[in-house]
Order: sequence, then C-alpha cells, then structure tokens
Amino acid sequence: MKDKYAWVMDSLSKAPLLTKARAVKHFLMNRNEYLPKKKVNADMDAVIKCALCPNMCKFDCPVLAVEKNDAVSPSGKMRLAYFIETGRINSVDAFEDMYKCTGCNACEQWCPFDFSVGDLLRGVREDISDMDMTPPNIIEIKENLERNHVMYEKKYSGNGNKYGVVNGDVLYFMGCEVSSNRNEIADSMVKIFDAAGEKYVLLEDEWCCGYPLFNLGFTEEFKKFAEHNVGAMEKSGCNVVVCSCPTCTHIFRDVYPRLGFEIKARVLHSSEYLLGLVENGKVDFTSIGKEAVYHDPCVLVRKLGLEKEPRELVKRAGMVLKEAEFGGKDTKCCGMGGGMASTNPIISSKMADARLKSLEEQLSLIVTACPTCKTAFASRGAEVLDISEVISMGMKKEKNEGHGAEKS
Amino acid sequence: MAYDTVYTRHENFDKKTVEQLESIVPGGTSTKESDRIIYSKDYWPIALRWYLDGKLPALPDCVVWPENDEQVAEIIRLANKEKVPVVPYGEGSGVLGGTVPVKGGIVVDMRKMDRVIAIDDDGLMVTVQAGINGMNLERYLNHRGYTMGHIPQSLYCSSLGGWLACRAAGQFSTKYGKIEDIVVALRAVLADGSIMQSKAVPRSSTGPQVERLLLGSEGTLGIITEATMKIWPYPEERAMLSFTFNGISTALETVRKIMRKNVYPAVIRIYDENETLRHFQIKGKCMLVLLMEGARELVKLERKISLGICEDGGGAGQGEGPVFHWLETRFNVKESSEFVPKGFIFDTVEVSTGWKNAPNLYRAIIRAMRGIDGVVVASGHASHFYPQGVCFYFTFGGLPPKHTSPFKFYESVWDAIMESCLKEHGSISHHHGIGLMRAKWLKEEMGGRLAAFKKIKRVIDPNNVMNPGKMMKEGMNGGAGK
Repeated sequence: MKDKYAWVMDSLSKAPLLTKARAVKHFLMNRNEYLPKKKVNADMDAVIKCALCPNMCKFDCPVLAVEKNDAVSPSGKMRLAYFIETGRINSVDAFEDMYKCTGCNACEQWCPFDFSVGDLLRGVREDISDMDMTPPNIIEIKENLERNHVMYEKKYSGNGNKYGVVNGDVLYFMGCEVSSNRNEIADSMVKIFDAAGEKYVLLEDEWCCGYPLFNLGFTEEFKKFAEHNVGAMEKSGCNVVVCSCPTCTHIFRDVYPRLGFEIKARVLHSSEYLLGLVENGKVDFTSIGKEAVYHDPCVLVRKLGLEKEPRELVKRAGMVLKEAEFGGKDTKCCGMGGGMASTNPIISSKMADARLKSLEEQLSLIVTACPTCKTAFASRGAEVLDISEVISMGMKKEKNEGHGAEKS
Repeated sequence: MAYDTVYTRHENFDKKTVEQLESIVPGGTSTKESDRIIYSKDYWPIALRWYLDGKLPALPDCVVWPENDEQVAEIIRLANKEKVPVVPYGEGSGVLGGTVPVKGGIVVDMRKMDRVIAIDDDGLMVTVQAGINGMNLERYLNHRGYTMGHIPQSLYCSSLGGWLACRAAGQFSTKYGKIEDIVVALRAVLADGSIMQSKAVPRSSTGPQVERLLLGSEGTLGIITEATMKIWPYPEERAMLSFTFNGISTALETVRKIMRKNVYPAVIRIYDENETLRHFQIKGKCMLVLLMEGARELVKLERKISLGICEDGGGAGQGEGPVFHWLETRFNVKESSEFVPKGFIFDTVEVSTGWKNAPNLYRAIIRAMRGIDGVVVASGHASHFYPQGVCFYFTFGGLPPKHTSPFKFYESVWDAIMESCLKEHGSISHHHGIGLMRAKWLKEEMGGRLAAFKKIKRVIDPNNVMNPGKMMKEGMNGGAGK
C-alpha cells in the first residue's frame, strides 16, 4: 500500500494545505461515496469499478461479439446494473440484459481487478429477484428445475445395472446434459470403468448440480440441490466423484464448500480421472490415427485450470490434435455456457455458429471435454467427440472384468 | 426515469423516422431505454462522475446497427430528409465526448461492419471494415504472422473507424507512425449519402488527397466504412533498454539525439519524477524506456546506437526490467475505477510540440495544472517521438473546491492546460482529438484553417446532420456547464 500510493503521497506533498487536507480525508477514508444506502446482494464496489472501466475486456466477450451492442458488453452490463441497483431504471430491457452472459470468464483474464462479470451479475440477479423483477422465462427455468430436479428430461437408462449405492469407489456424476442429450458419453465412461476394472456407481436419483439456480440468483433454492447431492454422494460411499461436465466439477469443488456443503470424496473432472487411469496403466490404446481440433471448454480451462490434461489424454489415445485459432485460456465460448441456450437461445445459437465456424476452419472433427459444448456443435451437424469417447474408441482391449455396483 | 441528462435537446424526433430506419436496417434499430442509456456517452472522464451522480450526457433517440455501405448511406439520406442528427459510434472509447449525441438523433454503431476483407502479403496491406475492434484486428493479424503496429492503450476497447476519425496514435508510434501514417486508402459514406473510395496505392499525384479530410473529422463529414492499412511481418526480434535521468530535460535531449540519427525505436517513453515513482517506485528520477523491434540485425544496431547515446547523455542503465514491467501493465486502466468513486476527478491531456520548446512547454503545463485550486496530481510523460518534436501526455487529478461544480473544476484545469499549451506554441492535441471538450480551443489552434474547415463542412453537410455540436465552439453551449 505504501509503495503503491507513494506517488499520491508525493503529489499531496506539493499540494496547498487545504487541498491536501481534503484529499487526505477522501483518500484515507477510502469511502466509496456511491454505494447504495440499503443492503444489496451485489458487490457494489466491484460493480461500480467495472462500470467505470473503459471496457478493456469487451473485445473478448462472446456475447458482445455476436450481439454488437454495448448494452450487453461487460462494462455496459455493469453500467446498467448500477442504475438498477440505485433505482434509477426499472425497465424490462435493462433487467433482461442482466441475463446475457455466458459466465465464460473471458473478461476476468483481461481485468486488472480480476473481476468476472458472470460472478458480479449473480448478486445483481439476486437483487432483481428480491425486487420481483426476474424476467418470466428465467422464473420458468427455476420452477421447472425445482419441479423436475434436472434441466431436461432424463433419458439415460443406466443400461439396466449401472445404478447402485453399495460401496462404489467411484461415483460417476453424469450431469443433466449427459443424462438427457449425451447418453453416449455415459456409455463411454461405463465402458472405460469396466475395462479398467473400476468399482463404480451412478446415482439413481441424481439431481442437477444446481448451477442454473446459483447462476440466475436463486441461492436459497440452489442450496436444496446441494444438500440433496451431497447426501446422495455420501450415501454411495464413494471416494471419488467423477464428472463429465466441467461446470458440475466446479460447482462441487468450489461452490458447494463455500456455501457450507462439503463433499468428502475427491471431485475430479473426467479429463483428470481418465488421465490417471492411463498413467496407472489401467487402459492401453491402439492408435486411433485421426486428426481433430480441440475445443477448450471455458469452465474447464479458466475455472478449473485444466488445459494440459485433456490434450495429453487424447495424445495418449493416439489422436493428433490441432490447436484452434483461439485455444487454451483464449478459447471462445460454445454458446451454451451460463445456461444461455435456455435463457437467451438466439444469442446462444449465434455464438455456437461463430465458434463452430472457427473450429471447422481448422478441421472437421472436433474433440472437447464438456457435454454441453459437444451438444452446441453436434446439434449443428458437426462431428464431435468427448474425451471419454476418444478413450473408449482407442482402448486396445477390455483389460479387466467390469465391477459395476449392483443395483440397489 | 430517475436520471437526468446534461445536454437538453431541442429537436423533436418523429417516431416515423424509427420505422423508416427499421425498414433500412431490419432488426437493427433500437429505441430501448437500456440501449439509449448505454449510447448516451463515450469515455469522456467527466461523464463518469456525472454517471455516478445519476446524470447522462445526452440520450440518443435511437441506435442503429448497419451491415453495409448502402445501409449507412440510406440512414444518412434519411437523416438529411428528416433533419435529424447522425452520430457515428465505433467502440465508444473516445475521451472528449466526441460520440455524445448532444442533439439526440441516431447513433450509428458500426460494429456489425467488422470483417477483414483481404490481406495483401506482397504489398503488406490489410483491407478491413472500419467497425472492427482494435484488438480483434491485431489478434487476427498476429495469428497470421503480421502486425499493424498500432497499439494504443485503448486497443482492447476502440475501433479502426474511431482511430481514423480521431487521428489516433499507438504506443509503438515512434516506429510505425500515427494512424494517418498507417492508412493507405479508405472508403467512406459522406454526409450527403454518397460513397467515396480512394485507391490502395502507395502514393499518387492526382490532386488533393480529398479522402484525408475524413481523418480527424470525428464523424462531422461522413462515416468511414472501410480502410486499407499498412501491415508488417510480425517482428522477429525485440530489444529493451531503460535508463534513469536527473530531470526530464536531460532525458528529452538524449532522445532528441537518437531521433537525429534516423533511428526509430518502436516505443520510447520518458516519465517525469512523479510518474517514475508511480510506475517504477523510483524516487527523484526520470525513467526512459526504449523498445526496439523488427529485423534482428536492425534491432541489434538500433539498440547499440540508442545505448551509446543514452550512456553519453548521463543515463543510468536500469536493464530490461522496467520495460517488461511497462509491457505487463500497459493496459491496466484502474485509476478512474479507483478514484472517481472517492470523489476525485481525473483526466489525461496530450499535446505536441517541436523540440526547441519541449522542456518549457512541459514545465508550463505542469505549473498551470498545479495552479488550479483542488488539483492534487499533476504529472506527465512523453510517449511519441519524431525528429521534429514530441508528444507530452499529462495527467491531472483532484477534488473540486467547495462551491465549485465538478465540471467547473474540470474545465478550469483544462483551460489552464490549453492556454499554456497555446502560449508555448504547442498543438492542443496529439491524438485524442477535439470532441466537445477541446472545441472552444480549436479556433485558436487552427486559425484560418477552421474557417476553411467550416466552409467545407457546409458544402458537404449543408443540413449539419453529421455529429452536430462537435469540434465547433458552439458544441459545449447549453449543457456541460451545469
């Protein structure tokens, strides 16, 4: 602090006495004169700082890239948020703009304050909910989730014998996207578990991790999901929870504990878990001999820091990976992050088109490590493989008998 | 509506105009309150204070997002027919209120015209639509092995069209030049809806360079829609040097000698004592940082020549560390976010001068800023160099004295800087432009040229639809003094 503001002190020493006295008062009191008087959920100090920035991260915002409207740029949203929080605007348009974010965290990596607009918006959305101004389509998502406990209709059958509760070492948490739309990923994971001789279990009553509720500002409702899932995980007796979805992994690892819901088991993303299997010699490969472009899922690379693991895994499976024009932490959102496909389907669709076009300029076969990213591209006719499918496809032979837990 | 606007409009905007705009740009017109709020301002620092106080500079009546030249032309033709203002908008990073719609009207956001059209590798040129974001263009070029060499601090949040319209400069300008040195050709829709295109050839002798009127016109004559820009192979080598000097005059004299050798380091920056303390935590010295880039052998030679001159000039070598530090922190723009909520008013002002008067001008402006009641911070650095002279970049910050409005305080510091600059024979802006804030000083700056510019404006834009109220003295009237 002393070094950081030495130049201010130097300037103050040259200022007239009265100016100096007033400046010291303002500076040392360190008071933000513009914070709302009433208590709000939003981190208003951060909202104001972001709103006053020239929007230095805007070039990397995938929502702005397709919307081309500064109202939904990172600082633009915070400028509106400040007016919402201080009661200066009350228009539906402004409230709707607060939900136009993928939570991809691209903004954070360019921010001198390390702000993530996705994170800042969560408090704003809680306040909008307290004002009873949540847009109807957002309320609908919340109510559906509370009613069904999963985002979409669950289609995965468990192949008859894969659900169980009896002492599975590994709990495979499918997540909503896999259990509904990407059953092939669960099939691949089960095939690998069997081949590696892992003792595994799937939850028969798996609920959504709760991210959509958390993200949309319904923290209390989210806690019910956390409570259910933590209970079910404990009951399974697992030591390790493996998720195909980076967001589930992040929510279990980082958010549940922050809100008081500790998961005793280790939580791993499938890229970490599968790489462990490969390194421990539990899986051998023939060379797949295909070339693919790798798409880094935003949450996996930016929130979980898993950049090398999926690449190494695919390389071990004998597949040649080509880097995307924007790869690693510079990746671009698939369009379905932050529940955008549900909250803002048109924007989501435009983002998916843009990212897919950029990937396909490299190669037509895409490998990724997130079921939602896979859906974003596969639903547009692209050939996409999850890392688990790459491993399952490249496994030399089934080394061991499967030890799937018995159905309870 | 629980907010106020600083500028009051007099025109009545007919709702039918919005319908006509919608027919020109289907799905690309908005009158939403949230959009009008966001397009009410650019990054004019005083507007940040207003915004926190619940005041917006001025609301546009609507925002449009054209996708091609023809749509831009039709919007402008409609504006002429209906006599409504048109305010071009790139990325909204201007710091002088240049895109504030002081008379309402149509804000034309150019961002949908952001396509890279072609790279000419033989001729080292890129042709690109003007709505492209600066960083997205530079990244596109970098990924393909090129650079444009135009890296302003606003790179992440500014556009090609905005750079051209304001005659911008980047941090690497000493080597690559200002934007007017980098542009080869441009295409624009003029205020009457006609389209003008110049040829992408290195030089011509075919009459006056009429298209160059658009450079620095800040949207008052037309809208730049496309440009062909010089590019360079991405530098194969970089070399870095830094030195501390006793006093800014010695550092300036040293750099002048480097420039005399026809040696062009890409980056040269001299910080005064206060800014050296601020950025490098070194007290009582002036820091000089140099960065050379390009072909390996050339960089080696530039480094050698620069090193020798700096050592002869009494510079104490500080190694590469300060240059790396500058490279790492050069896009950290935190001051407004940190200090404006505490009631401080900040701004930066850039001016240029010939070598002869450079130290005098620096001292005069620092003195002028300090002379204003309420100013706490008054500092400067020199950051763009030429064999003929230099650009100084001043920063001021302070608290309005009691019974003085934020704007009056802000304006009084600006007045002091502008008066000193003119008195010391400097030019009142090197690369930020005029907008609203400098408008009242343009007459003294331009002299007879302003009358000529006004005549041209009247011919090209007889209905004064293009960005009215900007660059001319009358622009400030009726609002900001509140």
